[in-house]
Amino acid sequence: MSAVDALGQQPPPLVGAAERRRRIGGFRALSLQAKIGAGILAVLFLAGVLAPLIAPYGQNQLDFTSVLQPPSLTHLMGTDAAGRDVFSRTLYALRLDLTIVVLVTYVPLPIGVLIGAVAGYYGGLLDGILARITDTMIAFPFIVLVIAVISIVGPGVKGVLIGVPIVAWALYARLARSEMLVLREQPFMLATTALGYSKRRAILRHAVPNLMRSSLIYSTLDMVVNLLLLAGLAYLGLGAQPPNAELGSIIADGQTTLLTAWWVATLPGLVVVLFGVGAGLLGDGLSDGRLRARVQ
Amino acid sequence: MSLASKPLLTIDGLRVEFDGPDGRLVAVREAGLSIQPGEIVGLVGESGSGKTLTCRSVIRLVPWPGRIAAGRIEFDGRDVVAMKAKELRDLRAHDVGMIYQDPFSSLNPVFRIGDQLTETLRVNLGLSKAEARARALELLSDVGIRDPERRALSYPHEFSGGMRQRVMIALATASQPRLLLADEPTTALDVTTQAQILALLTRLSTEREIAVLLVSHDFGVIAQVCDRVAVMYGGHIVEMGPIGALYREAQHPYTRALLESVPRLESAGRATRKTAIPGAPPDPTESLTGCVFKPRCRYAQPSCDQVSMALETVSPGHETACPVRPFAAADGAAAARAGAQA
Repeated sequence: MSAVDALGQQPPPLVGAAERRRRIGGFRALSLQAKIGAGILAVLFLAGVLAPLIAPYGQNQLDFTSVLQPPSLTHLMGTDAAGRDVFSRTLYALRLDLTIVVLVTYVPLPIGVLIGAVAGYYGGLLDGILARITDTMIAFPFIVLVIAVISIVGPGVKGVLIGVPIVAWALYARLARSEMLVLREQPFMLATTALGYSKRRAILRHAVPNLMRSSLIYSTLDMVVNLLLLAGLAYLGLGAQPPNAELGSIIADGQTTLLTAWWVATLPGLVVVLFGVGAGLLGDGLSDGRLRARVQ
Repeated sequence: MSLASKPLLTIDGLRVEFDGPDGRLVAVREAGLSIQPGEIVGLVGESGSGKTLTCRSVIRLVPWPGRIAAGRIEFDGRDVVAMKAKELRDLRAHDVGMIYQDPFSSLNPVFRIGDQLTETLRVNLGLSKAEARARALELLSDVGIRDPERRALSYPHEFSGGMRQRVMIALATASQPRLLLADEPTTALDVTTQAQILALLTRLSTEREIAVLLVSHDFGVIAQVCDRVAVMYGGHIVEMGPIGALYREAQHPYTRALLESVPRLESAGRATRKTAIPGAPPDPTESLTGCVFKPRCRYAQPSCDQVSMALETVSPGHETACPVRPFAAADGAAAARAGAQA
């Protein structure tokens, strides 16, 4: 290199791949908050996945000799009015509910991000039309739509699986669109045009990775909303049909015996709360965690 | 300007308009310039003079809702204004590169430097993965990035501004363009880095025969590297010529005023202030008759209302839009002064 080039060029110290991972990403870079949140969610998901292995009883295993037993070592969460082990039922319910929650959260996410990114990138009439559709979806009373779908396809998880994604993409679309409006003015997006890249490449490869972050963080909140919706519908008897357990239906069952056997409704309810807390901590921690890593 | 070879780029009568809710805004009124292969041409002017838009028009990157309303842009005999999407992409991918003012956001923050270069080489030149990788490392080392094998694995945020601008230059010149549009490439950099980047641009231009259109508001930058300069004001090119002629015998009052407002080393520490040009640049929403600079011009005359802003030849290659020529008589003295200072 010429002398001019050698002047003043001070490259930051070179770091290896492992060091880089430690600095910019990876579990250890997360804030404590995010770690706790991730831990809670991991335990709950693991419990759901491993339910058939760790549940001490079958989810519908009746035992009329031990009805409405309080929590003990043999029945960690007690038993309900039919003598079913609430802990086992909660595990199975968690398995079903979390599967549905993940599906109805992470299937609409990429669809919404894509629609929002396209709307934001092109702007103009297309954006106007997509933005109005998005607004309509967001304004639509969510639960009413899901109940309407259920009235068509019949009770059961099918209603949720169809109804929620119809609406859920809209919030991601709006998030992605607003980020795209900022992103599209960035010189590096201008550069994709100046370099002669296709619009498809500009959007999918250059913009989307930059605007996924806010949607991913929001998705943790969305999971909670969806779990609550699911529990709410099951509580109303519109979810999985008996005898299959859902968190909402266990709570509904336990409601009748709430005064004599509080554990049947309360403990599965606390699991819902725990999920909400975990997801909230993770989402909140993720949005701060990146900042913290950058400051270091 | 040597008329012997055919110009690589010709802009003629370019007009860029913005239609907004408050009416029409004309940002570039009538701009024309030409660039020879391998030549470095400066485009200088203050904010809002239309220099960036003129530069961007070359690859039709005028931001919405602006549009090229009139004029001819010809690159190597091809009409850019009339190009269809496919041809335009081809032009951008192969023939013309562009670098920007802000090196901090002109690279995608989520991809490694090497991957961004490799992508261009694969998409625009159709190289294989291995070829592209090897070429990317060559390009990085050519723009002065040391240890390219390792630096290629870095993300943009791990680079300094000057290094990012180097990477940007590597990216813009990866597909062997014949013209590089440099829109204030050194404005965001400190003076030392600025000199390095300008040296790099000059070297690349000579070594690879890349013509450069260097947009800047800084006459100092232009003077360091350019062969010819066009001075822009109020959407018009008001004066154009070889850099030496323009410095020594600028004919347009605006060029003179611009040169006088550049701070000089010998005035440092003294209480003298540089002469600022009184008044403000013309309002782009107004339609103007006569000379655009007339309202701020010390030498304005009634006849200036009839000025067409067409360039007239002063000496070979040196053209000005000012027919009054208030400095014609003083040129001998000015040249002598310039000689004494040098």
